[in-house]
Amino acid sequence: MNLEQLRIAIRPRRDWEAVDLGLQMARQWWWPMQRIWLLVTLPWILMGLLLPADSLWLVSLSLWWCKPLFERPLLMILSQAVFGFTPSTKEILRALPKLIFNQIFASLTWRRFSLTRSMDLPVIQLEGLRGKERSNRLQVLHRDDSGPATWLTIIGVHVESFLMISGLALLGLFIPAEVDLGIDSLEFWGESKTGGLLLLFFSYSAMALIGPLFVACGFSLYLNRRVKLEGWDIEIAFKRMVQKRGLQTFVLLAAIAFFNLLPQSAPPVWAADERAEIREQIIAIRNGPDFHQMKTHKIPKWQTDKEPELDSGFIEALFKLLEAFGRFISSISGFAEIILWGLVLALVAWVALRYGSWLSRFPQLLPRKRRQYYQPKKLFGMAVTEESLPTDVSAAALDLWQRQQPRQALALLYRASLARLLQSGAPLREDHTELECLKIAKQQSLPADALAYFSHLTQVWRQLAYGHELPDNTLAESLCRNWNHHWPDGARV
Amino acid sequence: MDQAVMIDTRHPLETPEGTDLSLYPAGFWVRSLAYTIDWLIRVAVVVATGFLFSASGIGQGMTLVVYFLMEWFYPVYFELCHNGQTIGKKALHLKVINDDGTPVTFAASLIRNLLRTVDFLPVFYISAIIASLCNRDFKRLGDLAAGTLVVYTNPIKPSPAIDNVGVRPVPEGFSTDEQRVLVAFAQRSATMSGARQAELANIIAPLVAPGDPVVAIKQMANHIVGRRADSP
Repeated sequence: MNLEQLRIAIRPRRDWEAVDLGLQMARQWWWPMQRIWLLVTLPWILMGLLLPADSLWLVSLSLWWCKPLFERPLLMILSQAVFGFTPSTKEILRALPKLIFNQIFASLTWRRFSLTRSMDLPVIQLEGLRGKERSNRLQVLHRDDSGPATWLTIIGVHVESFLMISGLALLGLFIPAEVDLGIDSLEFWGESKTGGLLLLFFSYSAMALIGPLFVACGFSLYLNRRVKLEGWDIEIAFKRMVQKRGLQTFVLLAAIAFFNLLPQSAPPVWAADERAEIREQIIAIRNGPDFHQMKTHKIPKWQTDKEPELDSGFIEALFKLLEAFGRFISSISGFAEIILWGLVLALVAWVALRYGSWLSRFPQLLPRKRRQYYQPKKLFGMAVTEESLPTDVSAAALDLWQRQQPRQALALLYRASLARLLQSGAPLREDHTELECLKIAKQQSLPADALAYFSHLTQVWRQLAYGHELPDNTLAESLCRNWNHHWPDGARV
Repeated sequence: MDQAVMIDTRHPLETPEGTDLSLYPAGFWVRSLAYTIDWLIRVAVVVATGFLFSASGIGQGMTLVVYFLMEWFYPVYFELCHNGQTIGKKALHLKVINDDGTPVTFAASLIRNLLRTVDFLPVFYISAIIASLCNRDFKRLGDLAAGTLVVYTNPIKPSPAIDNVGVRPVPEGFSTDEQRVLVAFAQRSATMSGARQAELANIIAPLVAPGDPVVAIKQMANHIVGRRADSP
């Protein structure tokens, strides 16, 4: 082991900083590690592809269970790479059986659940210790700076599952809402081969991402302990000191050998009194003004310059403050409520005043006014009030008809009918046409004969009024005579 | 081996005055622990507020306000008013600074904490973890945007005192760094086996002769740290 060749900066580190060195190492040798990890886990992927859906859980479980074995080739890469030599894939594969079967039983049974696995692996793999020796060694290593080893495992488990979940979440996010793959159903994940494979794929990917980080960080913790215990940095520095001296001694000898040839090369020799003089001069200069210059700088010192300390009373004070605030708020809450509602009303009023005219441009926004119904006094330009009618409509109409005033006669019949309809509560309006009036009349509960009469009358009236076609005499006279029969006076239908 | 590609956790920083500062950025493992502590505190405060105010009839509103403040301004408050340290960061000896080494500013703190929403994607800060592994200084996306760093504050554990085995002046020609190594050897010898001490000291035996090199180095270290022959 030649520490001079190390590719990592060696010095005693804080415990968590050692873990961070592991992260840097993983960054540096990420691809070699990832490649080997994928290679050694290949059998599980093939198994996943070949086995039926209901035994995929077995693949997942065995993949997870054998993780300690996959970590060994990764450690081999790191342990050689830090010395500047990254092993080739072929070399690793050749060493693989020996790596894997080293203490395999213990590693896969009771040590599988060890929380310090990452930091302990170098002891069996690199130092080749077993049994009592191993546990003694671990005791020494764990004496200090090994807290993060446990946390590595705990955080690692979480990050790994988060990675898996985020893979699934990303998949879900990128599937358009219109496409239904049945992924939402439990059946998809549990029983379908695609779902099972997807789950396996994401958990596999998460393991692949976390694996190198986990191994590198554990290895780095182990290295840090050895650096501290064995003074690696001191060894390196001592060797450099010797190297440098070796070089310097050689240069000095050469220089002396060279300069000895010259007669003037003797160093100047000072007389004793000259030396005393020089010393006095030195003292004088040292006491002189050049070395005693004083300057006063004034800089404002703020109260906040004091480093604020977070004392335990802080939280307590915060809670007291919150409590007092809550009491205050609740004591004025009734009053505050009134004020707040007042403010809301004022706001609404202001909006109505300020923007009322503007709002009116959008009638559909305003509440629809229910139009009040006024009984019309005139329909089709004819008076339809009860008072405007003669007492005997039939007689009056017949009289008009016989006096050669057919339009007036039928008009009287028609408006008299409308007046009766209005009287009985039909909602006729001035803008209704004759056919609309007929339609409304049909919705009223009129006697069947009255309705038939009105329907007939409407038809005749329209032909006369708009078509200028006179009805024949018998029809007109029967209409006139029958009016009183169908619309009896004061009839409330 | 080329010194330039040495893998290290140190973030060297040269100030305008030409001084070299060393910052030690913290990775996602320790930061996730600090975050967990802060998260627990935030949850505790929100739940406690819920209990405190539930009696007063304005409980829900107040709780929501407190939740909002805790969610968005808890880290900003602590980073600005407590030396760049939330409670969790303080517990794990971390702090937030600008990446030029100055104390974190308001804008930077606000940006890095608002961007937690992005770092959180798709779930549980996975983006933050991946982003932090993609750069040397373990910056999550918020740190990259705000130009901040999370660094360690604690010094390496103070070393034990040096064995009082006498004093010997350091020979000429030991640079400051080399004297420092002598002191480090003497201080850390307490954690090393005797055999390892002898092995290390023998490397520079010619430079510290005469006598047992282990003792000689310790004596020189005593001299360097200012112990004198007559002091206890």
